[in-house]
Amino acid sequence: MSTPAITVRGVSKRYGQVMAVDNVTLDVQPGEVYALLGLNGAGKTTLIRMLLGMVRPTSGSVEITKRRVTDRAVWSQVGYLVESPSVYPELSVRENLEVVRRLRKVSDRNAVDDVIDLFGLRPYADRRARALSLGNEQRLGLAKAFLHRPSLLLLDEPVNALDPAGVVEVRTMLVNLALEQGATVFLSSHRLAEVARSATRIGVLHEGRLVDEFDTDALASRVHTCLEVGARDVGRARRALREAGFEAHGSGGGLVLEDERAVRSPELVAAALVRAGEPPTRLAVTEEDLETYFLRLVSSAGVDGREATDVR
Amino acid sequence: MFGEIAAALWAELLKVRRSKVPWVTFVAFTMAGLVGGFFMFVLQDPDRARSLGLLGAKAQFTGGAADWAGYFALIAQIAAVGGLLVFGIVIIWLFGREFSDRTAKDLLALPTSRGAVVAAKLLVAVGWCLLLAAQLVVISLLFGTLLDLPGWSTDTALRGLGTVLATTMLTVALATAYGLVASVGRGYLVAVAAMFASLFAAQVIAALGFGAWFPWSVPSLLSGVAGPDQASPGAWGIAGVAVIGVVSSIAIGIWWEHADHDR
Repeated sequence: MSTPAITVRGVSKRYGQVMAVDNVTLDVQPGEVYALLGLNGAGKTTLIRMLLGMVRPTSGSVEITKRRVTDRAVWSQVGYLVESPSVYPELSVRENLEVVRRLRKVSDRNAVDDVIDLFGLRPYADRRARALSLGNEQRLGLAKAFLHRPSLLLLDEPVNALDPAGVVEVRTMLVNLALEQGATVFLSSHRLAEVARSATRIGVLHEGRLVDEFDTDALASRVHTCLEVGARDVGRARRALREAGFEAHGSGGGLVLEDERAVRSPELVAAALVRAGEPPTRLAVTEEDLETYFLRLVSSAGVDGREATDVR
Repeated sequence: MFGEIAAALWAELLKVRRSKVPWVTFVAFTMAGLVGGFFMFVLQDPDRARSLGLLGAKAQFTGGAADWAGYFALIAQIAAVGGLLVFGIVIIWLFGREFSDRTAKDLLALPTSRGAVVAAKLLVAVGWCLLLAAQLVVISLLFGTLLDLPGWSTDTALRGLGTVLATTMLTVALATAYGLVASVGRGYLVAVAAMFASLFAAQVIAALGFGAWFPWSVPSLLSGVAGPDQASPGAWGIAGVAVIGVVSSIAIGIWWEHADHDR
């Protein structure tokens, strides 16, 4: 088995009475795009800052490629963007990147121009950073993280402030980086629908605890699906379905069936209703959207986070 | 390590070159030099000073005689009092701007160590402050020559410039403490407050006669701004200032290296 890009073991961070991160354990394998999902204040940024050695854990350990983050040699292979991008406003885009090139000891002088082109910053290269739009400032922040072509990218909310085209562009770049260059990407976000498109693995952080972790491929099996049924006489339809062995709930607007047999074989439901003389006016298998799934997950975690990993 | 400091130094110098702050400090010390020259101009001819009705009494108090020795003493006093303010602004800006612009986090997980970044900032601060002191001396020498001040000798010049240099170095050493406050306070505000509080305390404590025991009063005592009746700060006073400078510099490095950078 290859060396994990990131190893987090029982990490906690306490600020006074507040437990910002609570006993988090996770591994990120090389080439993975790992998305840490959580609401604002869930502890995502604190965890990323601990991964970057900016914040010391109260307990537990953090390693990058099996080396402690106190080992400075780690950072030559890591690029990062924490919270909102920050730039020296009086320096041009090119100068901001040149500062990074020197501090990162990148000997290739073309690295700055290459990354300017990669992130579409050429028209603004000699413009002072204070004049950049929020979106272009975000691009500059990502360019700084990517300038030395790191094998591990730690990105905190990387698509914030980007327009839809920018979001697609960054998503494509991150996926390509992982697929073509074998780089590992660890990113945080509060937008499940977005990370579901780029991440290979998702961890859900809520109130400092990692309440769920799953491969993105498994997401479909986790979201709730149900069968929605329309009928002219909802009460009569419900009775007919009960007699046929289906439990339905709902009222005037229609009925909802959540049992697996109904979802998998809606024709059985339709046949039962037709036999009872109450043919359905509408029959649709619907899937819970990702935001609803996420909110359901964190709300059950909010009651008791320790049990939340059982949520399906 | 040298390569890392060189890279960090390059970055710091670029930031300084692109900033307006050096110009503000340059103008501040130019003004201070002009005011010093004006004092000498007034002192040269008391009758003219009285007819102008400006600063005659005060110039007598701060500068003494209108000769080269008096002029050098006045320059040292400007370096002591004005220097604490201007050098303080220099160091507060160098450290505080990284927090105000939220760029500090981009300096924390790099192949270049945090210690090298701090060392580069301190080196730039010392160089910048020495350049300002040199600027003050050059302006003053020009004024002194224009005014044809009496009492020039190599000995007077060396002693006078030595006092200006010593006062400058002591003031820079004290100003490093503001770099620590700007780092721990994560921005300008607390550090500026600390600077004014120490400047005020230095004047009051020196006036009370205990200046030799309060490091922030020492440069003023050395330059003679506290008046001819005040004792020289002595070796212990100067050692206290050196300790403040060394301890503050090391503490800045330790803080950048080990503090929780959670903002």
